[in-house]
Amino acid sequence: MQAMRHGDLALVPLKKLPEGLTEEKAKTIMTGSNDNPHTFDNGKLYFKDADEFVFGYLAAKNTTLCHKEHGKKVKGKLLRVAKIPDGIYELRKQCEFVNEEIMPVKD
Amino acid sequence: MKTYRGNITITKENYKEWREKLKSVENITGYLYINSQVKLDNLKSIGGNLSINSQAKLDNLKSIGGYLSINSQAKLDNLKSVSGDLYIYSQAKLEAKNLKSVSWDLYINSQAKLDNLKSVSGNLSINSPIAKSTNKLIDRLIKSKQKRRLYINNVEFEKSLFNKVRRDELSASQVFSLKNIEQRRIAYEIMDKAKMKKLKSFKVLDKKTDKYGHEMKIVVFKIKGFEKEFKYLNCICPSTQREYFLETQSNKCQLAKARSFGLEKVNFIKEY
Repeated sequence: MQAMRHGDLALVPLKKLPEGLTEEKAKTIMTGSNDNPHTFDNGKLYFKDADEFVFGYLAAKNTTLCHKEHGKKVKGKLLRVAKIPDGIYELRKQCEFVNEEIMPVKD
Repeated sequence: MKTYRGNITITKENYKEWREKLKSVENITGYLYINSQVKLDNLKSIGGNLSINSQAKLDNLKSIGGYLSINSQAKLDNLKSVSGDLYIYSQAKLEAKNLKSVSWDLYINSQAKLDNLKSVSGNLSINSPIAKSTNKLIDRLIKSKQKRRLYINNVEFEKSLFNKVRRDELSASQVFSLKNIEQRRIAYEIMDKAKMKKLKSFKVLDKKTDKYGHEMKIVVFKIKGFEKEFKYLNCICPSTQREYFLETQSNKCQLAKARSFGLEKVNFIKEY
C-alpha cells in the first residue's frame, strides 16, 4: 500500500469516497495538542470516524496541505505547503500504544 | 528634552545621516530599528519598539515603550523598563544590569545578563540548551504566584514539570513516561544522554535507515515498578529534523511506523 505522510497525518489513496458523507466547511483537517493545525487549500473534506485511526476523507483537486512545520517553506508565508496529487484519500491520524491502549499522538 | 517624532530605521546606507540627526535627541516617539552599528549617547527613551540587529551603543537609554528585540550583542546598562515583550534571539547577548521590569512576555533564546530583573508580567519562554544563568533568572521570576504560561522551545509545560525539565531533574525513565510526545521530545533533548545508560535493560532491537537518511530504531528498556518493558520507535521527522520516541508494540521499525497509522504494510511515497 502506498501513502503520503504529513507529520502525524497519513493520506492513503482510495478509489472512491464511502457513501453518506457530508462535506465540511472547515479548512482544518486535524489539530495537534501543540496547536499546530493541518489545513488545506482546494478540495473537499469529510469527517467520519471509521476506527481509532481513520477519521475522515479528502477529495483532492489542486490541493495543497498547509502546516507550520511540515512541507516546503514559502518565502514570506508563515505556513509550509505540500502539494498533493488529485484523488480521494483516507485520513489517518498517528497513534501510539500507551499501556497497551491506542492513544493519538500528541504533538 | 529634544524629541524626534516618528519612526527610524538605521541601515548601513543611512547611519551617518541618522547619527548626525540624533546627536542631541533624548526621546524618539516611534520605533527604532537598528540594522547598522550606531552610537546614540543622549537617547533616554523610545516610545515604540526597539529592535537591535547590529551592535548598538545606547548607554543612557532608560525606557522602551514597546517591545525590545535583540538579535545582536547589546549592552544597555541604564535600561530600567520595557513596556512590551522582551525577545532575546539565539546568537544574541543582552546585558541590562538595571532592567527591573518587563510588562509583557519574556523570550530567552540565548544569553542574558539581567541581574536585577524582578518582574515579568506575562509568559516565560526559554529555549534549550538552557544556560545556568537563564535558569537562575527563571528561578527568581517564577517565585511569584502570578498565573502565567511557561514554554520551553515553544512547548507548554505546567510549572512543576517546567522546572524539572529545564533543570534536567527527570530520570530517563520519567522522561520516557511523559504522555505528551512534544514534552517527551523536549525533555529528551535537554536530558543528559548518559542517563540512558543507567537504564540497565536498555537495548536496540532493530535499526534501519529511512529514505531520508535518518536512522530509525526500536529501543526497549525496563522501568522499576512496571511489569512490561517499554518499547519505542525512535525516529527523525524529515521536515523538522526533530527526534521522536513513539511507544510501540512492534519489534521492527517499518512495522512500528506502519502500525502507528493503523496499517500493516505501507510505503510512504512522500513524507512532509
